[in-house]
Amino acid sequence: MRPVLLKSLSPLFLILLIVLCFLVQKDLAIKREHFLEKTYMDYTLPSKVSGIVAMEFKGIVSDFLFLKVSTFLGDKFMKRLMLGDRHAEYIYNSVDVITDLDPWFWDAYLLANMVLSWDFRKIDKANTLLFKAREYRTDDFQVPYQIGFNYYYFLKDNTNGAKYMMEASKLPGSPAYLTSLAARLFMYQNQYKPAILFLKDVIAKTRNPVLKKRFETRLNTLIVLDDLEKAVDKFKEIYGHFPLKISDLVEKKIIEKIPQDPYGGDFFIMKNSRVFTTSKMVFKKRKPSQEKQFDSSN
Amino acid sequence: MSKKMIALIILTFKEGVRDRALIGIGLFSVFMMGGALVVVSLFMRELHKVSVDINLSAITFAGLLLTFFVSINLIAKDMDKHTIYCVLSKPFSRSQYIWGKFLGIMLLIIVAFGILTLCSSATIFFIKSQYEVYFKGFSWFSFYTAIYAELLMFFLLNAVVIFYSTITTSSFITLLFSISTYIAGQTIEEVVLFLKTRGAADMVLSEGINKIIDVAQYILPNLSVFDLKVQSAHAVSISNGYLFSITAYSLIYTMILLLVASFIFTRRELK
Amino acid sequence: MSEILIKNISKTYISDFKREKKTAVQDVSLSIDSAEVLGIIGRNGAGKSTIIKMIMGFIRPDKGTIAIDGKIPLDPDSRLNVGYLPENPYFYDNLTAQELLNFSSYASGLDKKTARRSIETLLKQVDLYEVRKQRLRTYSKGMTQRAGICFALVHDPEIIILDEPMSGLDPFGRKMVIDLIEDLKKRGKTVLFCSHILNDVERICDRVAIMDSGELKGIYTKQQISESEGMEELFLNVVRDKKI
Repeated sequence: MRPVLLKSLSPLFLILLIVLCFLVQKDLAIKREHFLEKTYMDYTLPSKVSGIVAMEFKGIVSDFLFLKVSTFLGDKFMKRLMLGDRHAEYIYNSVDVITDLDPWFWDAYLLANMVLSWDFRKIDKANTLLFKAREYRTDDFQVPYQIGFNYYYFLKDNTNGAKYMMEASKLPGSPAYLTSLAARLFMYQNQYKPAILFLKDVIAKTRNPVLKKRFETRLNTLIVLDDLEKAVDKFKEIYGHFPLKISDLVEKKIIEKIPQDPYGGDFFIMKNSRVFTTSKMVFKKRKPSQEKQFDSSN
Repeated sequence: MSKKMIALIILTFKEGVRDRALIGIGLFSVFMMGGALVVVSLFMRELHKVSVDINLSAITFAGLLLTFFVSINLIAKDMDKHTIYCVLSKPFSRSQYIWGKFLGIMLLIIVAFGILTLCSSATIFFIKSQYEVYFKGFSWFSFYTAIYAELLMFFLLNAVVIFYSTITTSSFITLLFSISTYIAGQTIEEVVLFLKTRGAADMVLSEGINKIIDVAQYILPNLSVFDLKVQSAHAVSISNGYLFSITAYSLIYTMILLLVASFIFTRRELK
Repeated sequence: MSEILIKNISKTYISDFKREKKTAVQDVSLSIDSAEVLGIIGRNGAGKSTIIKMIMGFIRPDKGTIAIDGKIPLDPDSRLNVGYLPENPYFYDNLTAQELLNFSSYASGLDKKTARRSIETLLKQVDLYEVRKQRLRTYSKGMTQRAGICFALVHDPEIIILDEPMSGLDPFGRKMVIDLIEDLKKRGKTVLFCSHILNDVERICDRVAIMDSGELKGIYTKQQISESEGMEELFLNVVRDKKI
């Protein structure tokens, strides 16, 4: 009697197991997500080891590592999380390894530069990588252009800025405005215009929608700042002195209303009559508890 | 090329081409290339780099699978399973056997490479047509040059397989030694470079190890010279002199291996 | 003219790990004349297969010489006119019988036309013509044996060497082999085969060589065998070292 009972029950038992498996998997997936978020996965193998292990598959390994970095960043960008110093180290080390495996990998250099300079102001690190790119991508105008821009915009070094932008202007495919911009860079010392041109160029070639949005936000803010500076100049022209507050521009009806800073800060006029924002063009909106755990688990 | 050698080459080719492993290898490669179509959309701009990376890697993987599974079957298992009597009971010298087998295997690999090149060309052509703008740094010539270089490596690697078959008694040991030689051949250059640049500063290696590495450097085939994949991904041009050098290296090293294998095999007893 | 001449050959195997020596063949001299059928009989391990392998060049004797039609086994041309059937034929599984025989014929220098004719004739003779395009993987043991016979004979060799041709065959298979050897004999071919099945040997051989423990105990003509108490008695006596 018993064996017969078991036999007839076994298909039922099988179905039960399958359903159970499905439920366990679902639960595990959620737990795994938490597990991965808590895990500090930003180690990088030194490039010599990666290179040897990758053997003749360096290209495809570099692609994989790059995907890893860009998804990591993409995730942070999408959630508008603040990045910490340790993230800067991770990005730099990762891209250093990636570009040791494939020294022509422009996407990696670009990502590193845009994040290290704009988000972290670690220009020396950004430029270190760009100089490596310059050794290999000898015909790519974007490399010296970005080096030059970093010097000009972040380091306020017009000499080197102009030097490298000039170098870029001579390479094939460089934008038409670059030659004259490089030649008269000192004129743009107090303008946002070169940065606007630069970002427009970068955005035009960016496919990744998350990155594109991030750059566009920055570009739009710069355009707003530029417009505000033009308004400040107009004020000076009319009233003979610079305004003290942005609200002055609204009062005197030079601008309709105070524009909003996408980064959540307030626009203000600096002592040298330049316009900037309290947010410093960095997202500070979210600081989730998980971020705190990142820092403490160091 | 005498009639009997052609017969041996065709025999080897046919037996290899019908190995069921080929279906698996073919499917795997096509899958990988198809994967390229999907993966490409995840990347930023240099889509040509990713497409080339994946396609060339797929071709190389296929070549490795062919070498380590099908070639080993055709040579080492020939001795294991005594099918070698089919050939050696005919008027073939041991040397002719070695060369005939090698040429048959190479014919198989060349045909496989030809098919894979067609498939990957189609894949890249398709991706290129979809994302023309992001394919600026691409060159067909560079792509095919990298495939040619890979082929040179497989000439050498298969000669290594044949060489080990003649000195060992089991096909499994041949497989192990061949894979080890492949890994060593791919990494030796980088290891030597690493030791040279960091040697004195960070690590003090014993005299013995230094000597071993020195010797190994020249005996082991330096397989990394045939890896032009990264350069091809960015259409970096390779000088004709370099191509000529690696061709000569592959041919010469292969011939040495086959001659030594012939020599050893002539003296070997088949129990 | 002797077709196969074996002079004072010896072979000792050294076991890999234990360094033990095993004498497989000791100072054997033998000659097989044209159009003769010679059978070598003995117990398992007597050295029969070893001698055949040395003739075919698979193994080299430690001492002594072998000449096949005046050529040494190291010379591949010594096998130009030789057809060989190994003890347990293994063929390339993925090939068809047709392809296997194509290889055998072209390797022995036949031209396309002759090859085609010979293959067709032989396959029909052994009743494999219908399945010639099937992979050898699908063949039964008997079919494989038959394919092996075709492989050995497709180039119409003068010398045919068979290593235990009857092993593992059913009575039909054995009869086929016997008929085959008799047919070859009629056509004036030289046949050398080794076996441990005494009855068949008695029927078809012109001469019989008896081997035991690597030594050639004696060679007996058909007449000598019929004059004695029969093959089996003779064999047992010789092996036990009783002379007749």
